[in-house]
Amino acid sequence: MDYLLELLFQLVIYSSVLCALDVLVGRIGLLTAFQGACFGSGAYAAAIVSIAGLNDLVITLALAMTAGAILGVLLAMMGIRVGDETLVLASLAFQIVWSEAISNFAITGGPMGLRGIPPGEIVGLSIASAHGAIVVGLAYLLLTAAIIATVSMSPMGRLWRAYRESPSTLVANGKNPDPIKIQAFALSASLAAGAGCLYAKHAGYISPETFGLSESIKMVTALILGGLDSPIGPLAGALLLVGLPEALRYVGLSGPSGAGLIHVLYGVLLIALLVHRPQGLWGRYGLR
Amino acid sequence: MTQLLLNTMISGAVLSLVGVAFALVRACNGFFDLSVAAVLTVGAYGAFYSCEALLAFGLPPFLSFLGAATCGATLGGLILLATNALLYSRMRRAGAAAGALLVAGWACYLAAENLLAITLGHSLSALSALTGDWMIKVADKRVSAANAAGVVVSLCVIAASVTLMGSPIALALRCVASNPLLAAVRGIDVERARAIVALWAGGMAGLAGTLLAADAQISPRMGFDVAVNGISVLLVGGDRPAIVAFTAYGLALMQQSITITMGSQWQNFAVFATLLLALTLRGK
Repeated sequence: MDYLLELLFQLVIYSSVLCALDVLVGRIGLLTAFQGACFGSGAYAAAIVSIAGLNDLVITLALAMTAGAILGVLLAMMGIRVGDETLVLASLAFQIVWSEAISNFAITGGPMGLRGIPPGEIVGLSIASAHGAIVVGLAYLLLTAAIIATVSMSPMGRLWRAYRESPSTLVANGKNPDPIKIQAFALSASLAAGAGCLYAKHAGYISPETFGLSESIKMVTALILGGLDSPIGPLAGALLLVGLPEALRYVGLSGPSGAGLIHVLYGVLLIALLVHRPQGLWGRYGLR
Repeated sequence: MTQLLLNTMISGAVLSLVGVAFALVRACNGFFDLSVAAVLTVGAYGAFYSCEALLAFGLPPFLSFLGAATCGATLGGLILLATNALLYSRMRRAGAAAGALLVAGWACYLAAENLLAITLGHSLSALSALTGDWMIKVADKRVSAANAAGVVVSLCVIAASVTLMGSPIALALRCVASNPLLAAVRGIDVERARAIVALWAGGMAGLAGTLLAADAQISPRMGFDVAVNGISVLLVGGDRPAIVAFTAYGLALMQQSITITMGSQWQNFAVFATLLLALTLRGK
């Protein structure tokens, strides 16, 4: 039962992270690979303040989301300079710098990570149990989906789509795309960081591997497989991300060969979808 | 100091081969082909097994190494050619643009790396374990002859690439990248140009794999780490192969200096932080 609850928690958290990533990749059309850093910055910010004695989940969440937003704005500022085509590679470099920094600095625990992160509290009530964490995670997922849906339907959301379809047309219509991109990056990174905060508070231990480059790439792969610019796509992607390793373990393929097989499957599925169904399983927008 | 320069020459040769391979593909196809990372790894594995076979056939170690390098380069070229023909061409016909092609290249790498790990194991010994350490003296320092030969071969290949990109052929390749339809109207065989570039760039990546495998352990992951550095070289150096090659040697010098002064754990941090700074200051 605990195992299933743990899987459910991971599914909820990764759904939030992929929803946040969909803002950039699906809705505004900017392919990036630094979601692990956003997720991780929230987790590390939450872990550091919690170990220092701050246990209130709402305040921790707000701090974590601020840390994520700062990271997002930093990459956006750089992204504006390098151009969209190079952005994915710049974000890759950004992710590497971030991973190397948290693996080497003492405040983040170095390669060993941070242990003993206390569970969060809301109005004095501890949410140490798996049930509590899932309820909070679900509430956060709903909040994330609601924020993204609201912004998508607002004039800002229409500007995102306009930029995705034709940046030059947007500029020709007198709109400056730079603030649009900065806001999208800040929103996406802060929502992912919030999910990271909940993850750290539930897991009690975090290390750099959970938020590394390969995790970022796995998240982008899962989102593209699930589908872009769709409410179902990130959920389908998260199901693949969390469910596929477990399904292989269930049929007896675990350990290094099982992990390798998962990546082979991701690769083959991705190639097949890009050729035959570029919009992913449940997407509305095909990667270009 | 001499040792630092020798190490820089060896790692710079590998990096410049990969960087120039990326630059060639980008100049003609208009996207960053991440499958080059898989080609590099496959080249290293191909070189290892062919070296083993050539030694078993009775060839001397030096000739076996050169044969292995040829085999690694050929295998790399053929793989990138096949990827271009079977995947990228098909996707382009379906209207895919640079972003989708980049992700497809990444997917190829993901599948190939893990397929290699599952089928051939997680690591093989370096080529020097097969051929023996035969050393030569350069400025009173002992250098592996395989590394020295590799540096010379890579410099020749880079010189050939620089010459190619300085010739009228380069103009045709750039036409293919910027407007394939117009290039075809002007009489350029677009698919053939792309195939030639894939073969040449794949050959360079395969050769880089062989050089890397000369005295380092061969593992399925080796391609990605070098490819990420190769991309940094391309991002800083731009599209011109000569500048890319020059940047690669600069990056290699920086990596070696950081390893000596700060320790190897800071190598990636310093390199990529510098890259980000360069990108921010230099822009596009």
